[in-house]
Amino acid sequence: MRSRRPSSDADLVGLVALLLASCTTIDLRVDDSIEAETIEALAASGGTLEDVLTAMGPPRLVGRLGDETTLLYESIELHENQFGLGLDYVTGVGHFNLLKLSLGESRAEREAALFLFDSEWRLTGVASTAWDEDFGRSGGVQLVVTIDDVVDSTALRASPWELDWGAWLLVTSEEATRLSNRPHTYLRGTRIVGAYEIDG
Amino acid sequence: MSARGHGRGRRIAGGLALFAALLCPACINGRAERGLEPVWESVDPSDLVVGTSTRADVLDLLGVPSQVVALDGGSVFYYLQEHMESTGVILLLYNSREERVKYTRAIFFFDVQGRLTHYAITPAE
Repeated sequence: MRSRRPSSDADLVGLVALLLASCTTIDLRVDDSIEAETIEALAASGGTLEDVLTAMGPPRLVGRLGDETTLLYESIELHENQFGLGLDYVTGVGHFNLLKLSLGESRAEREAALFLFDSEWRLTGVASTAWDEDFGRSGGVQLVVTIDDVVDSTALRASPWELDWGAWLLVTSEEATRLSNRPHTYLRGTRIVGAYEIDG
Repeated sequence: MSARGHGRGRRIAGGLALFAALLCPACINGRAERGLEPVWESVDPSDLVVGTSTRADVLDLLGVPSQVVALDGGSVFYYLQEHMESTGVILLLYNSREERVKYTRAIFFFDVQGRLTHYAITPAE
């Protein structure tokens, strides 16, 4: 009995390509890692705003808490792994072109440190935490091979809203005032946090 | 050449073409900046004196800040630039992309009289 041969070269190539799996890794690093030793030393010393700024540099966020001031530092490292299977690169095997499988999973290593200061700029509180955030897994059948994210990490990739200040230059002051939320006020594109709301 | 030999030659050529495609790399290289020009990186420290310099001095030196924060006993000017770099390689079997987002910041604290009380600047790399 004769062994069965592929009906054509195209089918042979298609059969080989069917077995091909493609992997993708995506790594995103936002800001430098926060050193736990530095946090512990500052907490133990009970220093001042100057000590914290010298050791940590400018923070990611500044906030007001009553008559106290808070500085927030944050670091994010996102890892995403994908696995794909498909035949999109192979021509001449049109009946396989619709086959594309993508699986992905993502996790983020996050660090945050919060410093509280009294009205005399003395350090009154320090909190820090590091945690792994599981962004979950996702899968799907697609037509196009892609290295774009298949899990939703947009919250981590969003740019700081301070960089969007120019958008308000084209908004009328009346509309900007209506859209602003207490206690934030927009004035000539610069966001003033903690200022009094302008009503009317 | 016989028909059998011709068919084997086509299969070998097909295999070579597939092998070449597997080894064909492509590269990604991206770069983007958002925010203010980081002029604060080149500021001479002697231009900013704690207790003497004022909000006006900082504005003259660095221009409009990214954010103004009103505190209970003073105010803060916050300057920010985002710098993103990405590199990657695309192969048929393996793709990889690395993205690095760095923020260059400068922060200035003022008392109620508008005098500089503290400041910090991200060191230039």
